[in-house]
Amino acid sequence: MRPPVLSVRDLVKHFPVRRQNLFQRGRDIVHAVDGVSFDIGEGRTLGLVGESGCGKSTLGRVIVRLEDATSGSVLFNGREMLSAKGAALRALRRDIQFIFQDPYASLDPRMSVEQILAEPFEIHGLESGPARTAKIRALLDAVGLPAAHVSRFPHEFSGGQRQRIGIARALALNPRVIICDEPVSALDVSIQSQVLNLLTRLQRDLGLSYLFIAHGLAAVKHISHDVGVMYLGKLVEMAPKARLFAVPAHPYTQALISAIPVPDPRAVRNRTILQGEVPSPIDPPAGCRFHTRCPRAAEIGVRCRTEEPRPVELAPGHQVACHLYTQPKAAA
Amino acid sequence: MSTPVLEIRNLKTYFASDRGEVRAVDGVSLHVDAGETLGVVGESGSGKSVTSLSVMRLIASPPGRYADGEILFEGRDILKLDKAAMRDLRGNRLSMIFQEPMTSLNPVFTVGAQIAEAIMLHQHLPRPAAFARAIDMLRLVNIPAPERRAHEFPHQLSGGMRQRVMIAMALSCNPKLLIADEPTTALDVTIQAQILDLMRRLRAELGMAIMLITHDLGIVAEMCDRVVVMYGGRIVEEADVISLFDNPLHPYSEGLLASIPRIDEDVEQLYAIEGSVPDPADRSEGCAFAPRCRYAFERCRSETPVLSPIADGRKAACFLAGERLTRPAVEQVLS
Repeated sequence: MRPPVLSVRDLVKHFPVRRQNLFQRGRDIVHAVDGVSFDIGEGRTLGLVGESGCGKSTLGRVIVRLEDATSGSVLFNGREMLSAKGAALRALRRDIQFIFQDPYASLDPRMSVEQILAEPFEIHGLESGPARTAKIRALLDAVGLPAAHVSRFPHEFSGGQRQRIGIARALALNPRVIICDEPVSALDVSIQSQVLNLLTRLQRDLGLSYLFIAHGLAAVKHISHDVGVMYLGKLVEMAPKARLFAVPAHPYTQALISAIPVPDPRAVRNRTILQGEVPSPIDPPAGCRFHTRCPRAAEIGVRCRTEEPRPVELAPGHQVACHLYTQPKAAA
Repeated sequence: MSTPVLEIRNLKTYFASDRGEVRAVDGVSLHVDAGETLGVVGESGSGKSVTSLSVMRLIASPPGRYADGEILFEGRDILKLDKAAMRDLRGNRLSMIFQEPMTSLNPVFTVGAQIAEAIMLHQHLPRPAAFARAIDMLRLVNIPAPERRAHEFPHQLSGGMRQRVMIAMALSCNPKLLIADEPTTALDVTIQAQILDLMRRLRAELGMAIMLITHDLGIVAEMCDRVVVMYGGRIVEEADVISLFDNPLHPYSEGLLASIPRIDEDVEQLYAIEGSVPDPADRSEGCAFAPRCRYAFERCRSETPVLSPIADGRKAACFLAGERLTRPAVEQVLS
């Protein structure tokens, strides 16, 4: 098997925050990402799902160095991202690009499309004059925007078109990996499928790898080859897409899948409704972080509250961190 | 047949703008029967939210105005009521919950006091009794430790909890009709499941009608009895939920249903409606969907189709709706 393009190992990101209590001084730690590892192969898409506060967006931002990691490692084709500096970092940044959720906030309103798309070449000192103009036209063509729109400004475009501009900007420097952070969540239903189809086509044509971060499972299922599920900074389950949706192993994954409304009025609903809400990442529960809401925790017993489950491989590529699948430690 | 709780006839809500008058809602007629849930489906700019705000008489004027039409609630035309009579109705027999619970709650009052305010106003209870009823309402919507939570402020509650408070407030005076405008869009999927479950239970217990505005067809399939599909300020299709999903008559409904990525199916490429949602400031002649419609022909571009009855309980605004009704559907062939 070929080595992965992107390899993330034990990635940790903690944010210090001022304590919310007048009588205690000091700082609390938000455990946004707490030891996440995965690989993405060439031309593959890893979908990452989870609810707000699970750390999925922070994870994407740490990988492209928009935030500094607390510890861990991110290897792009074997080169370390997290300690790279200067020219080496700039080169790596060409290879890993980012598409943001909000196509309204991520484009400078005072720049024309041409200026927006010229900026990556400007920063990296690549192409100039007619060659650059030709590149920009090719980019617009690749994302399905008319070349005549090159002198327009972001406010003259609809949400879906703006997201296409964001995608064109990410493609400018021929990246190998694109981190897509909720790229369709802000778009209308009929526009979402246009953008998902565009991302699929670009992957096929250019051999791109995607880390596709989203809370909508349906979009993730459509576009991903593998899917990882995050809960409170931890990856609780990861599997090839078909397997994850057919035989989800972690009780959280099961609840998440069963919570999606199915667009079929005749469907028989057999839903696991989770009680309560996601606990604060400042003081995550001990043991398994999901045990406070887990419908199965009672039958497994005390280990869920005291011992953190290690990931177990159930099948090739299918890992789950849950005590349903671990053996109790032999008594010493 | 039961008399409708709400009947909207040819409603036109227009807004003044520097680009001329925007016809946000342009001749909408619909009805909601007692105890039923009507889904209102559409994308941004379709006029679904303006329709619901019109029913609540929450359109600021200027820039908005009700250019035409009637909104009959329990037989009375809401558009003719004076401010005092409308205030009497709002939050009482007619209630609404909004998408963003944080901006809909007052940050400087405890949630208990906010729920009690409506009860004091409409049911003329003294403050202590109203506060006690507010606590009962919080218990009804499954808020743990309601006695303690009633004394907390909105910022101390999570998003899901705030939406429960909104629901408690909306239901505190036993409304006949609850308008829910994207009630779960801002929430996580597991919290959304909790809130939808709660709404289903309360609907059965309290027997109110619900007008549910959403863009999520999964939620429509789960919650609604009937559906109206809106596009470009008009209703393009009205049907019971099963018929709509089995055989959508309007090409826009069909495209919308086809373009959702299904969790239970696998396809290589998603169906996509080309083009983009029309600008509400631009309402030119012809069918608003014609520029994106794969069945459009000459007549669609020159003449605007009106919403007309096609079959029992089904209406559509499409010149092809009659033909489309009788085309063989897969389900019909199979059964």
